[in-house]
Amino acid sequence: MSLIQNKVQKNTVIHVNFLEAVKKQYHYKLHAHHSMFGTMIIMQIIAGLLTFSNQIYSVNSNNIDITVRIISADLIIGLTFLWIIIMAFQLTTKASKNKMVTFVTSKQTNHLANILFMITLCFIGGLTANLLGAFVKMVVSVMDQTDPFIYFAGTSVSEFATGILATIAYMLLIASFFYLIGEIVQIHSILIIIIPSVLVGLLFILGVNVEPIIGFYIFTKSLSIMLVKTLVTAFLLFFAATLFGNRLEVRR
Amino acid sequence: MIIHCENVSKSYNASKVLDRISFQVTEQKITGLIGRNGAGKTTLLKMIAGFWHTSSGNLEVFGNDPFNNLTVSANTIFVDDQMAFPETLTLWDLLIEAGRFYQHWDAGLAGRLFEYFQFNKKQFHHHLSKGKKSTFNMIVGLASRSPLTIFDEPTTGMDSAVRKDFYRALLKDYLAHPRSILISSHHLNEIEDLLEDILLIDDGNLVLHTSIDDMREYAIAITGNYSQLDAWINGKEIFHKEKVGINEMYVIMKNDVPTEEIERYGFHISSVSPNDLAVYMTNKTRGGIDDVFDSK
Amino acid sequence: MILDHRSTTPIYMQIATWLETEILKEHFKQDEKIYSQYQLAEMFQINPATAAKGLTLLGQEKVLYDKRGLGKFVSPDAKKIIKNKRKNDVLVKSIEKIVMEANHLEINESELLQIVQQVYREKGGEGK
Repeated sequence: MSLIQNKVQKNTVIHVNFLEAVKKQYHYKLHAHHSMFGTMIIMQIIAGLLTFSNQIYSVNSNNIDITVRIISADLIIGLTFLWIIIMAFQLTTKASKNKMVTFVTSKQTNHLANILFMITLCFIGGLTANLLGAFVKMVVSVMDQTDPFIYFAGTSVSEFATGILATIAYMLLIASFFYLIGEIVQIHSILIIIIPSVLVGLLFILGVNVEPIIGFYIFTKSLSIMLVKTLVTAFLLFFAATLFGNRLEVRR
Repeated sequence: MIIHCENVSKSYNASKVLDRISFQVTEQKITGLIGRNGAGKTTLLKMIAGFWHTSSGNLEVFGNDPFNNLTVSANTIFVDDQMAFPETLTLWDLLIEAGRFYQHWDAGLAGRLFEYFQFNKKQFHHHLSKGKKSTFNMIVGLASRSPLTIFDEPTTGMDSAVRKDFYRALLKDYLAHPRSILISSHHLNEIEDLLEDILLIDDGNLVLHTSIDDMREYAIAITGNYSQLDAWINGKEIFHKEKVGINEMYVIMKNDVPTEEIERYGFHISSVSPNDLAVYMTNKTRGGIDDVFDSK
Repeated sequence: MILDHRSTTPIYMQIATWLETEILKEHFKQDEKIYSQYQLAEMFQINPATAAKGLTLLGQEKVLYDKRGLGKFVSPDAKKIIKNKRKNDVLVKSIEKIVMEANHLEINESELLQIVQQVYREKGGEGK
């Protein structure tokens, strides 16, 4: 036994850097959710398979039969959107927060780590959704070699890249929106009933027109303007989410 | 200053769980938190860990308000049987992750304890039995070497052999790497030797904050003739009294009367273990459960 | 030695007494370093603060002396001090108990002394 084994304050207080803490939490979440990526891929593949049997229109006239088949990545992307909504919500639950508190965390580092995590998910989800969509289209075109009238839309490289960026941007917007809703709902469980009721009420009963709002984000000619609109809104929504729930107790 | 607790109260759902608790922990030592179920031990520990608010009063851990504080979180670990881990990570994964968070983490110690208690690296935490969960959580708590390590009923579900191993491991690691440890337990008699100080809580009040040695000498047990003893104890601070044998009384009282005086009356003195003292001091009536059965 | 947790004697005193016996048996000679609180804690599975109290007690009785930063050492007079203390505490207390018991049995002083002499004849010389 060494001579210096007195109760000297050897273990002085550890000071953690905020960003270091965020980084560690981010990696922890990535590691903990690794199976979610697999789930996402499976969902996308299922959507991809369903896309094959989609949207066949037949038009008949005197001597002409036209069969139109529309293949798009819409279903895949739609399901990916659903997936990111679920992921965003999950991060706001008590269970998720309790898991963070086991180790080193604060409300702020947790929010930031969540946001980085969701950004990662959007990038990966957006990328795979479009790749899979392109793959499906390619398979269809190879299978239907006999048909001379195949029209491809959105298959140039720049259009493809636009598709990916747009998907990612929309996913970020959706993720941030539902993350914010999730955080607000945590404040009191009664809000789980109130908020959807309010939304439903606004939409269907009062007939509030959400088209302009959605149109603001979708019907833009320029990619860069759309990106700016979406990303700035996402940033603001994420920021708003960090303002809620900072007084909530954990491990109740 | 590690913990500064000044007139801290906690109310929850209109009931007062803790009432103006004041104490300080200024050095690295092992402090036991003792009290009955519902006395407020877990509440106090969760406030110190920064999980819950105080309702009033001043609580500082490492000089900070512990609620939502990154510094306190980095220097504290809270170990109980409800420690939450992701269901998707194996036990071994969890140890690796824990190692990333804690600066003083001892991977060697964690690994050796893991093997000693016969865990399987590929197991999942939510599949473990109650006792195994507590054991694993204990390993995480010890290996983290957090400057403030809190154990809230850490031995839940552990069989007695494992409990003994836990106490031994705790003491050995504390000797080699001193830190501040708060441990709440129902088994005071088991952990007595580990402790330096004791906080005795009853019904939200801090009844005693003293060293375990002082607690051993705090009270004495006296047996003697019923009527004689009954007359003699009049006006003195009694923690417990009961009738024993045919005509004798057994009394627990504060140790502030000289031994010679007691012996002169022919009464017999014996010591009172901290565990017994804690039970008697937190009894609702002086006669304990016997009062339920003794009809007057 | 195994600690007696049920005894009226506090743990730290049991440690002190045990160390005294070790010194009497010359397991620790004068000016030799005695066990540290951490070693005692490890040996007896107790909190080092309790062990420290036992060492402090012996320091107060001048059985041990401090060397700053190096620990506690056995005083040159340690054996003498311990023997004296035991003579006064243990032996005298035992005799007080015997005398009180004798009073209860209504045995007077000279009867008691006769019994003591008889015991000496039978057992004198044992226990050295």
